[in-house]
Amino acid sequence: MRREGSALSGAATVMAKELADNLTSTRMRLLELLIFVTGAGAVYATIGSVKDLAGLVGEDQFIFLRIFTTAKEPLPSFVAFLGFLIPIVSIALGFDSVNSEFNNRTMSRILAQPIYRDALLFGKFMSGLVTLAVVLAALWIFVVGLGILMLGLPPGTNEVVRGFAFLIAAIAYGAVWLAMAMLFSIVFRSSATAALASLAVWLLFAFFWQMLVPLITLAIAPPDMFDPMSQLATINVGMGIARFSPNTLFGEATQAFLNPETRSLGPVLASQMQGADRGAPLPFDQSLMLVWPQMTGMIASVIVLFTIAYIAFQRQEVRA
Amino acid sequence: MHLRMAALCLALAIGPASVAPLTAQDGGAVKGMWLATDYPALQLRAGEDASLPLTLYNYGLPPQRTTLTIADKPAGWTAEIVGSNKPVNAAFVDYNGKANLNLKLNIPADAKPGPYKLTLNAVGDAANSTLQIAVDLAAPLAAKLTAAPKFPVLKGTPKSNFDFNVTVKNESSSDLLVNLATDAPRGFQVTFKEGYGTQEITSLPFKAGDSKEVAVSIKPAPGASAAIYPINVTFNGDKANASAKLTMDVSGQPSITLTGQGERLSGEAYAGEERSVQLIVRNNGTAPARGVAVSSSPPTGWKIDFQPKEIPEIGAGEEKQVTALLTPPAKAINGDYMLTMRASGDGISESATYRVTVMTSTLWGVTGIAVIGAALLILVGAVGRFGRR
Repeated sequence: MRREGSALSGAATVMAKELADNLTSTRMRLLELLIFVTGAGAVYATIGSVKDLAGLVGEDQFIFLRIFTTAKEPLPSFVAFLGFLIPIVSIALGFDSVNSEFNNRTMSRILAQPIYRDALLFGKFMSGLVTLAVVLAALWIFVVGLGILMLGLPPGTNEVVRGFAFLIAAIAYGAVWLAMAMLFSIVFRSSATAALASLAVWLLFAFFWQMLVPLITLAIAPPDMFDPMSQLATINVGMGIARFSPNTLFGEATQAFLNPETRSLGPVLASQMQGADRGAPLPFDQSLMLVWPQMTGMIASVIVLFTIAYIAFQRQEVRA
Repeated sequence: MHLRMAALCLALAIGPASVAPLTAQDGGAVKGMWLATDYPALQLRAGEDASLPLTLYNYGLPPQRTTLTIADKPAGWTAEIVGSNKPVNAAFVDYNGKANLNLKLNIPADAKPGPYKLTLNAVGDAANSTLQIAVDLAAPLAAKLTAAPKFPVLKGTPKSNFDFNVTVKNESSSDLLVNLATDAPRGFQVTFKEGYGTQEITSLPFKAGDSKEVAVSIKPAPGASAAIYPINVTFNGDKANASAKLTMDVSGQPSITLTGQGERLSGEAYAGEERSVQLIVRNNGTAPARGVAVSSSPPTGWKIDFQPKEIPEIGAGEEKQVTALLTPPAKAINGDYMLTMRASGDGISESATYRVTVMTSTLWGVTGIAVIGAALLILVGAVGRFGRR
C-alpha cells in the first residue's frame, strides 16, 4: 500500500523518543564514561607537551590546535584517540537499533501507531546522529576548556573555526559508522551478528586496510623502476584505494583542519614547491577546499548507506 | 796607557765618525788645535731653537783630551755642546784628526733683538782654542698657518664619500693647537682624520714648523640635489688661522624602489588563472632613471609578464605603474608562494618579494555538492519508490 503524506511526519516524535531512550540507557552511561576517560587521557597526554607548547605562545599562531594533534608517548594524540573511539561509539549506538525492535516484538506495536516506516528509520537515524553529536560536542568543549585552562589564553577566531570544522568532520565520520551499523541491524535479525559484522568492517578499515592497500596497488598499478611518472601513478592509485576507508578520509580531514600548514594531501613534486613559502598557513577556506572531497565523500557515503538501509528496511516484512 | 787610548780611538773611528784621521793634511806646515764652526756670525730668531755645527781640529799634535767649555753666553739663553746626540764636556782628538760636535742653542722668545756674543773654549794638554760666535738676533716670526688641499674639487654622487686631503703647515716659531671646522650644508657629514689614521679628530697639535696631512671626508645628505657645493674648511689655532676652499660637485643619481599598490606586496591568485597586479616603480633619487626594465625569474611553471617590460625614463621623484600578469601553474599547490620581482636600469637595481596566495577554484567545491546532491536524489527516489505504510 502506498504511503500518503510526507515521509517525515512523525519522524520528530520517533526521534525525541529514541533520543530519550539513548540518553538514559545504561549503554549511554558506559559511553559517557568512555568519553570522559578518553578526553581526560588525551588531555593528560598533552599536558606536558602543552606546557612545552606554552613557551611557544605568541610564536605559534595555532597553538590551540596543537592540543588536538600533540601526541605524547605512550598515549596517542586526541585525534588518533577519536579515530578509534568514534566508530565504536557509533556502532554501539546503531548495531541493535532496528533488530532489537523485532526481538522485543515491539516493531508491530510501533507501526500500529500513525507513524510511517520511513519516519521510524529517519527518526532512529537522526536520534543516533544527535546523540553522537552531543557526545562529540561535549568532548570537544571539554578538551577546549581544559586547553584554555592550561594555556591561559582563549583560542583565536581562526582556531575556533578550524576546531569547529574538525568537529563537523568527526560527526560526519561517526555518521558513516552509524549508518553502517544501522544497515547491519536491519539486515541481520540477531543483534550479536549485527554487532560482529559492524566490528568486522571496523577492524578491516582500522587495521587491515593499510596492509591490503599496498597489495591491491601493486596488483593494479605496478611501478616501473625506470619511469618516475609511473611511480607517481602508483602512489596516486594507492591513495585512491586507501581513501575507500572512512578512517583515511577522517585522518586527512583532521590533518588539513588542524594543521593549517598542510598544503597538499597527495604526493608533491619538487617543482610544485619551488618558490613556495613553506610553513605558511593556508587560509581556512583553502584548507576546506583541500579536504572538500574527503568531507563530500563521508557525507555522500552516509546518505548512500542510509539509502541502502532504507530500501532494505522498506522491503522487510513486519509481522505482529 | 797610550796603547789603550789608541785602541779606544780606533773604536771611536769605527763608530760614528766623530773622530776621523786627516790624511790630506799629513806633513803640512800647519800645526795646532782649532775649535771652529762653519758660520761664526749668523742671524737667528728669538724663540727658535738653533743647532750650530762645531769641529775640533788637531793638526800635527799628539792625540789628546780636550776639555770643552762655554765661557760666555747671553743671560737667559741655554747652550750646550752635543756630540753623538749626547751632551759632552770634553772630546778626544786624534793626531791629525777632528771631532764633530754641535752647539745647541735655545733662545727665549722674549729675548730682545740685537747683537749677542758666545764664547767657547777648548783646552787640551798642549794647546787650546777659543771660538767666538756672533749672533744677530732678529724679532720672532709672526705665527702663520697654511692649508693647501691636494685636490680642491671632487666630483661624486650623493651616495659617495668626498675625501679631500689638506696639507696644513705651521709656519711659525711656536706650537699651535688647531681646531678643525667646516661650513658644510645641513645634513652633510664631515669627518676629520689625520693622514691615514682611523680615529676621527676635532683638533690637531702642531709643533713649530710641523706639516700634517688632514683627511677631510664629507658625505652629502642622502637627498642632496645635484649641485656644486663650496665648502670652507677652517683650521683655527690660538694664534693663527688658515682655511681651505673645497668644492664638491655632487652629480645626481637615480634611486628606485619597487612596491605594490599602496605598498602592498601580497595578493591572491587562482591556480592556472591569470591575475594582474599593479606595481609601482618610484624614483627617489636626484636624477632621472633611464631604461628601467622590470623582470622576474618565476618558479617552474609560473608565467609572469610585465606591461610595460621597460620604462624608458622615470624623472626624479616620479613614479610609474607596471602591471604584472601572474599565472600560477594549473597544478600549483594551494598556499603562499614568494615571487621575486626586479627593476633594474642604468647601474641601479631593486628587487621586491611578492607573496601570492594560490587558491583553488571553487569549481571543485560545487562538484562535491553535486555528489552529495546526487546521493540525496537517490535517497528521495528510494523514499518515493519504496515508501509504504
